[in-house]
Order: sequence, then C-alpha cells, then structure tokens
Amino acid sequence: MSGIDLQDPPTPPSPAPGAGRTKRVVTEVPSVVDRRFNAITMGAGISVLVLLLLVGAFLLIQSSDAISQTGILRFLTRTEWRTDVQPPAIGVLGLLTGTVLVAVVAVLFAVPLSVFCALAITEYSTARRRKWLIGVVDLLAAVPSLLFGLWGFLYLSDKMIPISTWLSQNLGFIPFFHTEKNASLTGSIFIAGVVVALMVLPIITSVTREVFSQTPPGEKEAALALGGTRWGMIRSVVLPYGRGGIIGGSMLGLGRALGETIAVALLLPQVPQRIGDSIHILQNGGATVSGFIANRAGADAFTVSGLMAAGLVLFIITLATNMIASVVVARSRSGAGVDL
Amino acid sequence: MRAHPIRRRAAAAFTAVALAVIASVGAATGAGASPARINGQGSSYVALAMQQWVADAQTSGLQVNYLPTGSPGGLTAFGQSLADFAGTEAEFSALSSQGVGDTRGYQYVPSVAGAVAVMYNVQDTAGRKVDYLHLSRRTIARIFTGDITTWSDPAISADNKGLVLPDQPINVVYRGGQSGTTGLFYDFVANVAPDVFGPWAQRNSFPTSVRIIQLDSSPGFVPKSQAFQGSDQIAQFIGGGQGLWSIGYDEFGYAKTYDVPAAWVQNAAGESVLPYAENISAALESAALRPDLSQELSGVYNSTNPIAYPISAYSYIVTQCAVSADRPTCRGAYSNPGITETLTSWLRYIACEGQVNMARIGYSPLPPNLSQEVANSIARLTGAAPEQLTQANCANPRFGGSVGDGGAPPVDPIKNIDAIGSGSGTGETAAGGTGSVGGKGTTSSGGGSTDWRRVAPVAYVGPSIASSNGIAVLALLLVMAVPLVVGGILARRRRNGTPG
Repeated sequence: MSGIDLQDPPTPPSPAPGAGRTKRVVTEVPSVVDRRFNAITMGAGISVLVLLLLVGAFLLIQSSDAISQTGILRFLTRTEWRTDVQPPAIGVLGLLTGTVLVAVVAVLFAVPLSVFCALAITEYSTARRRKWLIGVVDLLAAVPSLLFGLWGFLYLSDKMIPISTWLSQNLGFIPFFHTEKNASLTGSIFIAGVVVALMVLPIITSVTREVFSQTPPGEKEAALALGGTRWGMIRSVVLPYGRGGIIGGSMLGLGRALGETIAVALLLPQVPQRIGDSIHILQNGGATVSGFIANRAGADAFTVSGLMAAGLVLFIITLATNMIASVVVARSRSGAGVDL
Repeated sequence: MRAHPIRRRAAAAFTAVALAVIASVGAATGAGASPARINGQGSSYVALAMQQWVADAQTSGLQVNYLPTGSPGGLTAFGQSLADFAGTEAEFSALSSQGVGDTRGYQYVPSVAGAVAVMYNVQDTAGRKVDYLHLSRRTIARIFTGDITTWSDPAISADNKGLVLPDQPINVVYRGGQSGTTGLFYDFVANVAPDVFGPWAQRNSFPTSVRIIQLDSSPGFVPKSQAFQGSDQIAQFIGGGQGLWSIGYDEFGYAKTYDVPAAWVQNAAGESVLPYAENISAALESAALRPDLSQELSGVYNSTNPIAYPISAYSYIVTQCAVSADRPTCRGAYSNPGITETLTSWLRYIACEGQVNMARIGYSPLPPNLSQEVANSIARLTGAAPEQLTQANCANPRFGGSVGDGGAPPVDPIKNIDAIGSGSGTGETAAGGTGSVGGKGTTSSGGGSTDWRRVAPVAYVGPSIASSNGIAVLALLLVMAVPLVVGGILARRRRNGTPG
C-alpha cells in the first residue's frame, strides 16, 4: 500500500485512499478473429428471427386473397370449407377444433408416459442403462412421421377398434366419447391422437428428464435420510421441483402435436368438423390444419390461398404455445438452467 | 499478415469451385438436346400405368417423375409451371380450372384407356362374402347420391336375381379433396340418372355446370360416408375387415392390386360387365373426341354395345404447346430442349411398347388411331413430320387386333341362374338354374375359368405384412441396435483410454 509497488497494475485515476483494490476496468479489444466470430454467430442468430418473420410475412401475403374475400371474422368463426360455390365460403374453425383435439389427446397420452419414463431414466436406472434408455427414447424421435402414419393406418387402427368400441359403449354418456349409431370407428381423432402421442413422447421425455436430473442431490438425500422410500422421495422432492419442467415440456409437446402433418394426413379423413355437429372423437371424422393443407396442396389458386390463411393461424398458435412453454420452464425453479 | 496464405488458398479453392460450377452449367446448357429430367403430376386414375411407364423410362435412361396428386392438382401445377407435364382424364374446363393452362399453352396427348370400378365389401345373410354383386347403372347412381341407403334395398335385390342382403347401412367410401376420378364418376352419375342427380346436387350446392371434383365440401351428401385421401387407401380400406358394408369408386387397377371385388355393372344393352380391357375398349368406341382430342363421354355411359363397360374414359398427358388455340406446332414450347427430348422419347414409348402390358394391370391399350395421335403430338413438339405408326413399328397390341394378355373378361357367374337365395338357414345356396353361386367359388357354364376372379393374372401383388414378419422385425431390431452398440463401444474405449 505504500505506492512503491511496481507490480501493482496502473490504478484507475484517484482511487479513494483506503478503499483497497477497486474494480479494474477491463477494456477488451477483440481481435479480428473474435470480431468475425461474433458477427457470424450474431448473424446466424438474427437470421433465424428474420426467417421467422419472412415465413409469417409470406403466409400473410399469400393468404390475403382468401381472407379479404371471406372476411377475417368469418374466416375465423366458420367451419365449412367450400370453394366450389359462389362466393366461396371457407372457415378455419372446423380445422382448428380437430387440430386442438388431436393435440390434446396426444398430450394426455404422452405426458404420464413421458414423466414415468423420465423418472425411470433419472431415478431408477443404473448409469449404463440410463444411456441405453435415453438412446432408445431419442431413437423414437428419429422415426420418420410417415412411418408412424402408415403403421397407424395399416396396423394400429384395427387394434384400436375394440378399445374405441368399449369406450363408446361404457363411457358413451360422456359427450366426447359418444358415437353415432353405426358409425365407423376407424380414422378417428382418438387413433390419430394416440399415434401423435408416440411422436411427441421423445421431446416431453427429454425436457422432463433434463429437469429431473437437476434436482438438488442434497434435498433428495435429505428426504431419503428422513426415512422416505424412493417413491416417497420422488413424490416429495423430484416431482414438485420439476413441476415447471413437466408443464413446459408438455406444452412443447403440444406445440409439436399441433403441427404434426403426415401421420394425421394419413389417419384422418380430413373433412372439417362442422360446428353444429357434436364432437365425436372416437368415430371416423375430423381434420387438422396441417394435414388438411398437406392433402389439399395441389388445388386451385383460391384454395391454396385459403390454406395459407389456415397455415398462418396455425403458425401463430404454435408460436404462442412454444413461447408460453419456454417462459413457464424458464420461470420455474427447476428450469432456470434448461435451454429450450 | 498471418492470414494471407490461408486467404489466398481459400480464394484459389473458391475460384476452382466456381469454375467447376460454371463448367458444369455450361455442359448442361451447351449440350442442347441431351435428355433432361422431367417432372409430372396429376391423375391417380392413370397412376398404376404411370408406375410402369416411369419404371421403364428409368431403365432406358430417361429421368421421369410422376406424382399422383389428383387431376385438378396436376392441371393447376402444370398451369403454374410447377410440373413439366400433367396427367388427367378431363380437360381444363371440366375441372373448373378454366384458364389455368391458357398462359402456358397445352395439348392433350392420349395415354391409355381406363375405367372406374365400383368396389364393395358385403356379406350375405349367412355371413359369406359376396363377390358376384351386380348393379345397374341407375342403382349405382342412387347409392352414390344417398337415395339407396341400405344393402337390403329392393333395387339391389332386383339387380342380383333376388339376392336379399342384410339390412345394413351402406357406407359410401369416397376420395377426400379434389379428384378427377370423383369428377368422372359423378359425371357418369349425372348422365345416367339426371332425375336423381339434379335435386341431390342442388341440395348439397354442388356445381352442375362443371364436374363435381370435391365431395367433402358437403360431407352429408350421403347418410353414411367415409373419406380417404388416395386410391390405394380406398382399396385397402374396402378390402380390409373394417370395410365391411362399404362401397366405393376407384380405378379398376387398384381392385386387382388389392384383390377387392368390383361390381358387375349393367350397361345400356342390359348386359353385366366388369371393366376388363375388351370391355373398356368396346365402350370407348362410343367416345366422341373433340378437335383438341379431349373426350365427350355421354356416348360411353350409354353405350349399347353388349360388352361395353360404361364408366370408361381415356387418360391424357398434358404437355406444353403454343399458346394459340389452333396449335399448328408446339415446337420449342419448352425452354429447355432437354425436356422436349425426354418427353418425346417417353411419349413414343407410351404410344407403343407402353401399351403392351396395360390389359394386365387393369387398363386397355389405346386404339391405333389414338396411338397415331400420340405420334402426331410428338411431331408437334419436335416440329418434324409425324411418324406413321403401323403394326411393324409399333408394339401396341391393338395394331394386331387384340388388347393383349389379361384383357378378356371372365364369365358372368350368375348370368344363367334364375334366382339366388339369400343364403338363410343352413347356408346352402338356393340356385334354381344351370349353375350355382355359393360359399366356395363359383361354377360357370360358359366354359371359361371356374374362378372368374383368377382369370386375369394380377400384375402387382399387394405387400403381405404377415409372411415376412419375423425377418422384418429382426432386421429392424438389428438396424436399431447398430447406433447403440457403436455408441457403447466408443464409450468403453473412451473410458479405458482416460487415465484413472
């Protein structure tokens, strides 16, 4: 402190005497390489955003023809999709109902399965088996959705009929499970939802697994030390800690399920649900936005414009779902370190 | 300074790549008439024939792709220059695509003759599969407009010599989305039963001035219905266990592919026929061709030729042409001469060799005059004089007066039967005539094959999932195990490699 010490870095001007070492101002002069790297990574990040905006703008421009002819309010509140009458009447509501129903059925099936799967991986398996299980679950994500669709159409549909029949006969008093007399039970929202559930399983599992694995070991050990069983520990520590992750992961899965295309295009007849009709998830019928677009893409210009408008609606909904999901995960205690 | 050598090297590499790209582009454009890849889409009606033509084109070195998205979609894609050619049965105006192709210019090139079959899956009251169902044109029209709704309807019994089917609702299976096959089939319905069709179309606000290409815009068009997206799915569904009590329209080739029974349709001469090649070609003798080669089919629907199958139509390939209506020539219509090159060689193949196998897969070869029209279309594209096709230079069996193997129709199993019992009680068939229809096969009196459904060899055999189950599962498991095993080995090596 005598001031003779030459090893001391040059002190900032007029340090308060006795304040000790003050914070050193770090002046960073990035090298050319650093600056380039910075520019490239920033560019990549921004380009994603620009791409997103361009997609939105493209959809908006392409759909303007259909929306202006139909009127935005009527487009959003109508269910029929007729381009063969004059003036054409198209509405997205029938498609949206189907989309949401398929996604909800999928998430209802996938979430419990994924949570238990994640628990098995993080809490019950040995380190070696853990790697295996993670690999197998991720492998599920690598199966092309077309294969899921074909498998669902050619194999699973037939096997699901007894379940659908049982549900409609025994739980038919619940409005959703009601079926009309003599209705065909193939190609239903229920079957499509189950197939989509398998497809969103990996994403939900990996998010919840990530969250569960970050449970503070101290809390887990404390629970065990107090005499809790492993299941008791999971219930009192891991699940409450990971609640945000489960919710966020489910919503992320929901976002996926909303946009799932090829499998539902194959499985559902893609005839929009009409608003007057009650909803029958167990019987043949239903359409989703993306599946409808996939099946109708090769049509006349006005239909394509209408499809773009439907796509825009789906785009906005999916974007909103994913953003809410990431907010939920990030704000939860467990999700602070999880990047979605 | 340090960056310089690297930069120089990078620059050199970039220049080399750029030069290579320029060179290859130059080669592609400079060679002129070297065949280019052509892409087409459209009709699923012709898709099975296209499958073969495209496969044969590949083996002969021509790059051809075809996507069966449906005729309306194909014509739209062609009009927007998204496809080099389109497949369709109906002209632009009939599919409410008026003006879509006008900016591009087009010509209709006939490709093959085909038919729409009425597929069904029905059991008699004893629970035996019915595979000899006969339907009159009017009954078909009434079923598909929701006028007949149960299988026990007297009109169906009347068509089948008194056979009474169970009192089950008819499930009408149809194509979802826009489809040229839907258009063709309902054009037939409108033509043979206008009194039923008119009010029905009005009730559902379907168009009457152009063909109805989309049914699901009014899903209640019949009391019970089910939509599928493709011809394959329709045939698979009707043929499968879930398809019981269903009836649907689909290209005849799919009935053969998936071994689904197709109804014998009673034509205007009062004879019941299946859509075999001879029946299709007999019916299309009554087709009226307009100057642009597009077809007017009311003569076909009402053909009085005793062997004519009434729901027949030619399929066309739409290629680019001069914009003017009279089309003296289409030469140079495609900006890339390679496309013209591929297309003309391929069309020449379709006109002749491509017709040889058509009868076998459920179509009928073009008559000689239309094969010649294909040659004329090629001449319009190249600007050369049209080649005169004869039996000597063209393998199309019609030049020799036959339709090729597999084109002869089987013998009607119930033609000489006075009445069919409903199979109630003991399940024995009450057959009061010279033949019998029963649970185990059919006997025919005409000296033909004893099993009419085996008469024509089936060209494609549907994939059987059950037979190779074990091997397939094993192979799949092996493939799935590879990444895991490799990962495990790598992980172990890494573990062993790290000290401690």
